[in-house]
Amino acid sequence: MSEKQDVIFTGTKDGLYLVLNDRQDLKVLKDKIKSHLEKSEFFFQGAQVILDVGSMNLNTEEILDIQNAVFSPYGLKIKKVVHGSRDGVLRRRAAGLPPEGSPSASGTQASGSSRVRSPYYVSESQASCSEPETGLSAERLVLGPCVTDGSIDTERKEALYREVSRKLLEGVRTRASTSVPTERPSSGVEPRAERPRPVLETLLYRGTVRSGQRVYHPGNLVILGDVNPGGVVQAGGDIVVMGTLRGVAHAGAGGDVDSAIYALRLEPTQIRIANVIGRPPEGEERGPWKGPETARLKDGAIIIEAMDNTR
Amino acid sequence: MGQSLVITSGKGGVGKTTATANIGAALAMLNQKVVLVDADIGLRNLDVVMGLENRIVYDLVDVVEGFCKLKQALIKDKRVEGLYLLPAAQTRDKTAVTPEQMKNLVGQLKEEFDYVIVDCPAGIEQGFRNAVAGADRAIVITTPDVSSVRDADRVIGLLESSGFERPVLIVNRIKPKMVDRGDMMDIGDILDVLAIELIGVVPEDESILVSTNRGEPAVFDGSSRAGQAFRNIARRLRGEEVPFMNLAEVQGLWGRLRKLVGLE
Repeated sequence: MSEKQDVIFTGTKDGLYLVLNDRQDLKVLKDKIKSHLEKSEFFFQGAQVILDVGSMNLNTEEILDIQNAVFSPYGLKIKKVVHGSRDGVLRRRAAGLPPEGSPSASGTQASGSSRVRSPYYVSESQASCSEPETGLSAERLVLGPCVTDGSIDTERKEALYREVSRKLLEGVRTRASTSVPTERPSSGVEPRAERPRPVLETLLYRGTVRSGQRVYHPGNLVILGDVNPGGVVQAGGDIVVMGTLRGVAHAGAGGDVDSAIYALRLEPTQIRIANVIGRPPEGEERGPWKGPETARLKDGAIIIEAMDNTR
Repeated sequence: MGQSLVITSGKGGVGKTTATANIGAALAMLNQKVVLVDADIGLRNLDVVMGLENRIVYDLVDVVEGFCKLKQALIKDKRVEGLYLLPAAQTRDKTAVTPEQMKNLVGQLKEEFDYVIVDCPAGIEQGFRNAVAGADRAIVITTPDVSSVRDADRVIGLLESSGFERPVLIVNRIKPKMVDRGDMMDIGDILDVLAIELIGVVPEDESILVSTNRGEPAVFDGSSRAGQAFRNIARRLRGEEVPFMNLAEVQGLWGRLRKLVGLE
């Protein structure tokens, strides 16, 4: 990459799109944003900001801190935080397109953009993926076309599965959305619970996700089988494991903090929701199985509850 | 500037990962700053043996591909100060990394750490070439059986032709009783074939299996004989003269009594 800027400002019709260099120190980034805002204080006054943090994992406190320390003094408000790819943003910018994480880009995304890819794939060590994968490649999850687009899945026989799984997920979705805790930390991040969550496309994956396999899908993901240690399941929305979750599950990989993980048996290596990472307490024996459980975010921390509580 | 070691064997299942975890932990217990690098991309185990699996967020491939900083991928050990792990990626394969990238990576780590210990995958293909790329010294590990020694010999040849001057040898899982009965190759037989310097003999020890399953390297267990052997190896790597353990000692109370009364 020739561009060495740590912070890139791009105006879109939905607000200010800000790309951060995810390899740079957060403190440095904050200073850079500040100095940039200082120079052009009035120009940005009152704008909404889409913060593209790339592969950085910011927790709620860090985002709040950025909001309070950097943006609030200039009357700016973080609208949302996305994990884009810096390269991708720069490429699109050069081509005169809005960044993909910005809402206005979703329309252009599905039609003709070279980045439209199959809405899911399982990557195994042997599978030859045309693109390099990242450890936490949230961008393909959040930016992939989530809304059904006939052109995407015609050749895929999962179409039928999806129809079924959407119905299944609708049930889950209704329960999930009613259970969202009413009190949220007042934050600059737009509280998503207030508006209805979009209905995401759902992938039904039949089979066990074994060590070294990764299943991801920009919408919701249902695994009809187990997820073994070393296996990874990632979804832009919710994850349902109709079996035992022993590996790593990452729900809301695009930053949706309302995403949840449901499993008949929850014994994960690690759980990630949006950009929060949790791992089970060490040295603690799991008691006997007490029924299906769910993992969700509450006040910025991952909590595990029996599935009954989600009603 | 620290030094980098690669632990390799050719054959699988002879104890490369166990040796890496234990020697690394033992060096850290000697107040060295140690990082263990799992080069077995796609079949990672070192994180499990170290009991650090659930802390992995970024891995070696993420670092090499520039998706995170090296520091972000390092996992600090929970038991001993100065011990770190750089885990391998599980959902990728050996071709995700090139020998040049590994060399670069190990070079960076050497600036921060006293010891960089690379756990080599089995085989002699790209995974092996990646693992040995950045190493200053090589430790070859073998078990006392013909096929393992044969593979070790092959690997020593490859190491020597790629510029390692004096690889050293660990003989793992030796059963003194079987050697005594003549049912197992003894150290002399192995050294006859391989003709490299021996830096350790690790006895077969059930506690290794237990410690591996628990994610606790055996060197933390004072009563483990294998753990003792690995601690000795760590000291020899530091340049100390440590006498080899008397393996025959494991014969138990009865044996010791017999010795006392002069029956043996």
